[in-house]
Amino acid sequence: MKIGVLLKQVPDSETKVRVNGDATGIEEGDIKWIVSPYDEYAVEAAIQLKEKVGDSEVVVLSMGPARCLDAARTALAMGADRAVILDDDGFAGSDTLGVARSLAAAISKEELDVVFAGCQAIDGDSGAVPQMTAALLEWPHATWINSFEHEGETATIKRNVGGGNVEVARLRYPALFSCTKGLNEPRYASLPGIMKAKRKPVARYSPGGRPRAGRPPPPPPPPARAPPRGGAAPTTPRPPSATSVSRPPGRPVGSSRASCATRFVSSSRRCVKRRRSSRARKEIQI
Amino acid sequence: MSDILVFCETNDGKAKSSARELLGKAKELCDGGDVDAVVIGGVNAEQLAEWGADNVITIAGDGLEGFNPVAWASAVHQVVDDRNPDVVLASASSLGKDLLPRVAALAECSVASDCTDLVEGDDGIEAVRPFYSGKCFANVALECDPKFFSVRPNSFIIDEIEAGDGDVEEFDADVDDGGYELLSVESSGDDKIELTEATRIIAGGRALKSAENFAIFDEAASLMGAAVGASRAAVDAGYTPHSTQVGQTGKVVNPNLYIAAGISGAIQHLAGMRTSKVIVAINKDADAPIFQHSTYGIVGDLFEVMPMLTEELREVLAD
Repeated sequence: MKIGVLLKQVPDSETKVRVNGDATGIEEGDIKWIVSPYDEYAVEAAIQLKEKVGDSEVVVLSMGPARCLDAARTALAMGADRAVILDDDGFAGSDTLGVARSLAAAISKEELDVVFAGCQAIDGDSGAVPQMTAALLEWPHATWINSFEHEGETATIKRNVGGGNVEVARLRYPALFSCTKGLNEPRYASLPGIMKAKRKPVARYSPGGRPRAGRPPPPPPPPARAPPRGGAAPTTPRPPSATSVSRPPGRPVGSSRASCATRFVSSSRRCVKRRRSSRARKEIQI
Repeated sequence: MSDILVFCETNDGKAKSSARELLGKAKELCDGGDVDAVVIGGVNAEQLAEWGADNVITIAGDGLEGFNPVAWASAVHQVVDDRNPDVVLASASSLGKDLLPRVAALAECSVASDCTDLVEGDDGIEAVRPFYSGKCFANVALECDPKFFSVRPNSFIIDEIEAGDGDVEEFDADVDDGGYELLSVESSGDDKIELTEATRIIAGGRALKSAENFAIFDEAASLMGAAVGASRAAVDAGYTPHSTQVGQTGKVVNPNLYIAAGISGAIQHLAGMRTSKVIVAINKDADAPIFQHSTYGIVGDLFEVMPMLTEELREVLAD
């Protein structure tokens, strides 16, 4: 079984957040970076599933700049087998859809059967990427799970839905699960684990699927697991920079609907003054 | 002018009060466009009309009885495709936060989650939403069509709403289960108020000292119709389940009244409740950081203050 974990590196929750000069993000100078706390439950769930079914591999997928390798190494030290870093500048500043597209493409490429994610990253707090990724893959998803039981080709989960109610659901693999506190107790990395993690393989993908210099090329993309929704998509010539990795099969490139972007127009309230004049636009580069 | 589609949650065929807030805000922002409510299953459409819905679209279809994120998202997406609105709104409740991103992805659009304000921008409606658990906020403009926003409950004060026609249209959605099967919904029995939707919250911290002591809030909470929350310290100590945790790694809440009893006010806790409209802090330590963020502060032992407060509430609310 191939088990995936979506991992994000985020500022430590103790961080005093200061918005940067052009209001496009925060000052990153002296930030301590950690694995987003909810993602630790996802790593633990993946390792526990591997331990249960045997003959499995846990692949950590993380998107972000070069520093996010540190977060991936933490997961490798806990017991994940290898990491895939989507670290090209072209991924920077992606909005939720852009992130989900890239992750969905990487998940297809890695032919994963089950994917765990944190229910939300504690920087953007969107809690949207797992569901969007599952939608693009045409997989079922369950969010905010606090119980997971593997049973052959399915898993039964429990999730708190508020008001004291708990939903119990069964999902058929391949499926994506977003994890919250209560699911398990994430293990600490052992010293031998930390030493071993340094030698575990790390692949780096860029948006165009180009291998980085000095790295072995990633395996060729497999055919899509699920047929694209609505049959064949219109064929649009691909721009030279965009190939397989960042886009699930069957989606047109260059259509107007693919140009979603979140623009950090300004930061407001409490932290900084409004800076409407200095708007910066973040675009997804896929 | 914006056509706005509002996904409204229901409970036993009745629209939840979050629908009023969303429809009211949509009516403010639509600038002559249509404000349509979309619900899954039956609903009291007159209520939605009163709250401003011009059309009430009720989705029917096999496989939509219980919550199935695959089927529900597909069904709502079919309505979005059919109506082609400019904006789609949902409550950032546990249901809305699960559903809306999946609908947005099906529409090949991005989504802004947990927005605390919606404003008219240069290019249509924009959102204000917190980042880093409310340590800062950003204006977010979505350059896609339609724009998807989930809105944090209790973000808007809606006074009067111009009623809509409330024409009911049934929509037949064609969905399959997508590999998801809802087996059961277990209720803990008591009718607890969901923290993220509560308008009043009493929260306790490490100072409660035991799970049993959390009962000190019970009467006051039921008198006020408040939900009971907790700090991470109290959850980690095992006094109360994680579902009650308020803070950066728990729930982010936005009530009109937040009473923090025996909570010192760590930055992670503040991140989860700082947008509360009135914050009352009860703490023995006059230097506790929570007092810098509270509207009213009581320096005292919560085991002395809470009974007095409960007694007062009993008298005041008895009438």
